[in-house]
Amino acid sequence: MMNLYHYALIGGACCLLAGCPNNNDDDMVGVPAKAKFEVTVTNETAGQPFSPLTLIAHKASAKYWSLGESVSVGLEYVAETGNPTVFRDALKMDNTVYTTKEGKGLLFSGRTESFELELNQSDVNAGTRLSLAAMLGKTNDGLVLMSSQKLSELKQGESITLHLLSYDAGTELNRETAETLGSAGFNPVRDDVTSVLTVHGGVVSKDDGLTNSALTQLEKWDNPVAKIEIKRL
Amino acid sequence: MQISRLLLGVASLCAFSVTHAAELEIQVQNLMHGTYVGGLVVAAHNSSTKIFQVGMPASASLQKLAEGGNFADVSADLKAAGGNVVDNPAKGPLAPGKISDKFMLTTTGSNTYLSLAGMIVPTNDGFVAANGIAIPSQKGEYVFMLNAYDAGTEANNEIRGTDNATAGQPNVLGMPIAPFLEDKVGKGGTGVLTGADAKPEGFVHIHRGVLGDDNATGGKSDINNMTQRWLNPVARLVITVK
Repeated sequence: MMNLYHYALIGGACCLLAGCPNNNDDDMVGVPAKAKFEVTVTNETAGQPFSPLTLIAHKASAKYWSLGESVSVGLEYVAETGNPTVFRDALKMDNTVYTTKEGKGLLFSGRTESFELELNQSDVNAGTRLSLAAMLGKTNDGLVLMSSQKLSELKQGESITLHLLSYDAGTELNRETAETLGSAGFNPVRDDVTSVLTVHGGVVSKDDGLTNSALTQLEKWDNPVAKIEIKRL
Repeated sequence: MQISRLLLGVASLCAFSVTHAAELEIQVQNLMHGTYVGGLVVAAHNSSTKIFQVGMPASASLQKLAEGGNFADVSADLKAAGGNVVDNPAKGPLAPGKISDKFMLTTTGSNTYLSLAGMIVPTNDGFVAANGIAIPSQKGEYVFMLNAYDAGTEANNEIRGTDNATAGQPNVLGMPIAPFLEDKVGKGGTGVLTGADAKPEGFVHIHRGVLGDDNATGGKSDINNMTQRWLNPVARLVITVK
């Protein structure tokens, strides 16, 4: 992937070999145009904190999860514990990723977090997509996901607002017991009733008839769970 | 000039044409975590045909589909209305998360709307549907998210019928449980609704969801609340216009 440093080198080499027709220091020929975006995420739930968000700008053809398919170990860690380290490490090695942004800690219900993204215009023209993943904090393996949102159609000053669904990673049975919920609960054995990624059925809670649940009605939700605004700056 | 008049005439014919035949490649995916979708009926039809209307009573045909998974009468109705119908394209029930194989549907005449329906199992009379989506005319892939409906013809008591063989028939209370579901659905529930409270809502509406319980041999419901509840959307419809 070309970066500023490469362009500067090439420019310099051309000047040395052929002589520059224009010695203007302001000449920015060869520096790729940038596209800037502001991404604002709001947790729309009553009582489900999101684990630290991972926002991914990536190639159009890339997918990091798929409805109806098993999730990666990295995403399983996110879903069961909220810890994004394994997931993010895998993204760092993935050449379909242009850049990632990381949330600063939990995003609590009703709260908002913003990210600024700077991408190469040429990549955006080629069809850069935006994805997002985080855990629904008080679940067994619940996720909030944004899957491959297009950026290329946004003109400067335009924004798009979307709402995200909640998903079930399919890696842990939704017992809702204290020892399986939240950050404590990673289990490499996948014991869910359905082993693929699906739309979450919602939590039951003790109040609604799951006797051993550590959750109350406050942790229940309906879709959508998150609002995202993507603005082209 | 003769030639230009001929061209004009042809152009006029095209302008007045209301038919649009399309070659569609379709897939349906069950998005639910632990709940199944029964056999589907999928059809392209004209603007005056509808499988149902929210707020109105379900037809007898839809009642058979929603209560027992029997889509034959809905299919016959759509064919009688000149629709292009595909029966059971997923070749049986769709498991949670499962996507059907791609199937083709060729539309004819003024069949420019797409509908589908399949029973949601286990429920009393729940069904997933697309209810007259305008089929896009431009080539490309289109994704639609579908919601769960309640036919309103049977009370949501959430328990097996007294006789499984007849539980899926219209006006027989109780959920029919097909063999593949037998070990996944509880028994011995006394009913989420009983007696005089166990009456059908009387009109098609968005399903309010099931309660279920955590007692597989008793309690009020035979549905498992930990694994067999859902939130909308319950299915994903992908239409590729060729």
